[in-house]
Amino acid sequence: MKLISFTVAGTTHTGALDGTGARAVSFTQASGGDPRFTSMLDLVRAGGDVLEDAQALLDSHAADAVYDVDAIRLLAPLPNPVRLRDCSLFIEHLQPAFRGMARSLAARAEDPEAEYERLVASGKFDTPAVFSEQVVYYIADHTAISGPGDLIVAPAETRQFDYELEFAAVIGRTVRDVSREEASGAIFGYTVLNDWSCRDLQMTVMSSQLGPSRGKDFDGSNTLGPCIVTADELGSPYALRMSARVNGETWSEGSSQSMHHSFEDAVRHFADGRTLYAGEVLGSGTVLSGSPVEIGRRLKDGDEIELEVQGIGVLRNRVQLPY
Amino acid sequence: MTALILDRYADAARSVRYLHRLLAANDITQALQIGVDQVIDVFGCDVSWAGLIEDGYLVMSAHHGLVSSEMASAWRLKVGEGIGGRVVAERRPQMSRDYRHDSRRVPLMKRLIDNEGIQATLTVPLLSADTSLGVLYAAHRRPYPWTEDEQSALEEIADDLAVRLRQLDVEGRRSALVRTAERKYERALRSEQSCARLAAGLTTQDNPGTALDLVALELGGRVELRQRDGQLVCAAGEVGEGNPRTVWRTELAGTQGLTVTVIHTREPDELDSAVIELVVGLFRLQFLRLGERERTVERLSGELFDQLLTGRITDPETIRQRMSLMGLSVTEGAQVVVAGCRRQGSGAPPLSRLAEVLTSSFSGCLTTERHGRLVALLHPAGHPADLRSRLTTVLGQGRNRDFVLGTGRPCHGLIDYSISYDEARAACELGLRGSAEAGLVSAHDLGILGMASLPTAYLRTTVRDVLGPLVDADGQRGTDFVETLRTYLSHDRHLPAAAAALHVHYNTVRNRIARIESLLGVDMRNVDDRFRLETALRMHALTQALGDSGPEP
Repeated sequence: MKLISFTVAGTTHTGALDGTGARAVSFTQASGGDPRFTSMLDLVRAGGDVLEDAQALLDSHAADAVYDVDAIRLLAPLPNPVRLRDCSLFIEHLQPAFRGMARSLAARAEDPEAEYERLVASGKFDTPAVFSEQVVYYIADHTAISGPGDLIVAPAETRQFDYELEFAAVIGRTVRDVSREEASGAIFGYTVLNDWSCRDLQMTVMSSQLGPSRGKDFDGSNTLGPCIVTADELGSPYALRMSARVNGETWSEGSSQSMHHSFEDAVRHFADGRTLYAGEVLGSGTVLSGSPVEIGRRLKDGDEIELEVQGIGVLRNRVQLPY
Repeated sequence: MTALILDRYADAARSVRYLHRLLAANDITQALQIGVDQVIDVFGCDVSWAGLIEDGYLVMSAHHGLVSSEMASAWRLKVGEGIGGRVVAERRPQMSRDYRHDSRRVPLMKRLIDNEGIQATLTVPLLSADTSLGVLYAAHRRPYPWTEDEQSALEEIADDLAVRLRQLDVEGRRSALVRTAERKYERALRSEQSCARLAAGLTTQDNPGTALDLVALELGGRVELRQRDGQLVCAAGEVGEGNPRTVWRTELAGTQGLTVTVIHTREPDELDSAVIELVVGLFRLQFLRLGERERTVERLSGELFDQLLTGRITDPETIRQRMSLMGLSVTEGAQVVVAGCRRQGSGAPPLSRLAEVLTSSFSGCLTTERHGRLVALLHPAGHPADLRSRLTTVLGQGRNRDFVLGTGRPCHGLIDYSISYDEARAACELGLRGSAEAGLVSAHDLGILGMASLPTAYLRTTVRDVLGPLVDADGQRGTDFVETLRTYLSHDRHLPAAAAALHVHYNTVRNRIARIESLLGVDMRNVDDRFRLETALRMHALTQALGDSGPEP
């Protein structure tokens, strides 16, 4: 099922897209107020037969609960995750990303080429071994969630704003100390994630070694959507084509095949001696070439960015930049 | 019982009455109701209903004997699922003698059927040729052993009904096609009429902002006008409820890369796309017309130049819009060029001639004359070196060799225009007074970036402070200290080279430098001292070239 959150006529609904993708069925309405369908977080946390019941509601296609997709406003499918960790499950993109940052820093020097070589030789722009040894992550702001079609307003002080092509797993079962099989069962579904980043602010603050800080922290900095595809429908998430388009032109292309760590690794890591809660979201990190900084391009004010992950859908946003 | 039913069905008069009633039905709903009534009449059963296929679902279309309103309104079955869904998918009848133990039922429908107390159903497809139109049910509120004969009887009722449905459907489709064509025509007519109104409305708009408001109103979405680098010139309209997306993006030909973007929550169909294209085309025409008028007004008043070149900008947004109208970008390395003529008097070529050459060589070039010099705003695409080479080509043509062109820094923001102008002007004046042959001089090459906008009084004070004793000595005793110092430093403190350039003996230069060090209290080996002297020498040259006028106040 492709689960969605949406508003129509001022009311928020939890539902799913039907087989055509052109119509949305509201579970909130069709279930006659079943509390499990009040919000996506309620649905994710409900457990039990909730997905079977949801499928029955979707199949019944009750006429008064069906909406034309063009007539509704899709929201982030899970607008209020209980926690959001963005992980480095892809690690191949780190080297070009680090080198891209070094190139940006070097551009300010009198002799950019010499400065770039000096920065690279310093070793500070290599990928540390820890990225391949364990699931490295940072805790993103789970209150800064935006959704499909939202205008992303970059902070006034940034001069280099980037998208990041990622997808994310939504946790459906609260777990602690799990086996690999159990880890797989804890995953409820998958959605597309855009981890917007202010590269200049990030580069400045990364020297503190305390994470990206302001570089990835602003209203709406994490966009989720357009839907959560349930794990049973998507099948394996490790062979999905991923692409990013800017104003219709493809800038980034990759595949989830190149993930170094799996989501199951991440679940086991986060549930090792601690609790991973239903309703949490784990980001995959950026696929190779999945960000303008890696390919030497810059976004412009008013650009429309579309992230597409095979089997999940297209997440589309426009950006408002201060430069 | 069975015999009774078959007797009823075998009743020819009853059958003829059914066919008469079917023929008399005016629409599909009536025909279906006649069908289910006939099932009740022939079978003497408790309930009968019919469902038709709509968008892959069977929906309740007629019923007889139902007691709950829920069943009548909510019965809905996906094709292929449940008993009815299978009947239409497989195009063959299904019997259920005891519904309560039938595993084929769909959970949601199960509840509806159980509430009705229905326990046995006989379901046949409504077939027209090989196409399933829907299903017809006969049902009892008790377990019931359906027979093959009853199945055949129900199939015959369904066959007659399906034939009539097909007739009505075909007729319905024809009129539906006519209605669709009529609606399409009316929509196209309304669009044309409103485009005509828009065209009339646009011609009365004096600025692109209000013209864009009209366009946004017509298209019912948000419309943005942006420069090639993404800079927003103006925007109008709001997107309504829904997820906005860019449905149209086009570069306006003849406007130096301005782009119109239409953002809407619905994907446009063929007609919508045609309307958008027409409306954007109308906007472009009005935009070009306004641009031409703006250029004419500017030629007459020069107000925009005044604000830009003096840096006294009253309303940046208005200036940006007016510049866009004239095809000038404020963010992409626009360039100010100031030109003067080496020759004076009646034999000198007129500045207007150079203006014509520049205008024809650089599209979107704007020119004006200030203080006896030609000022041009260029918008060169490509690398700065390309601009240099194109300007050199211009200077190489015919009598243009008499002109000196000064350039300043490329402009990135509005404030840069005044600074770039000061630099270009200073470069031009220095070029006109210099002995060099070069007709193209840049503030960058002359090392005066950032200095040319300083007030003359400040330049003089600084020169006085650093070089005062040398200037006094040159003035009072006819020495040549300032020129010696300039030549010595420009030859990287190489005595033989400086001596050759000054046409004096090696020792003369050495003695003069020693005297200069003593007068100023400086040491030529000290880099800070040399920096101050270099800076002061450039300021000195600037004050000489600009005279009392200095940068424009």
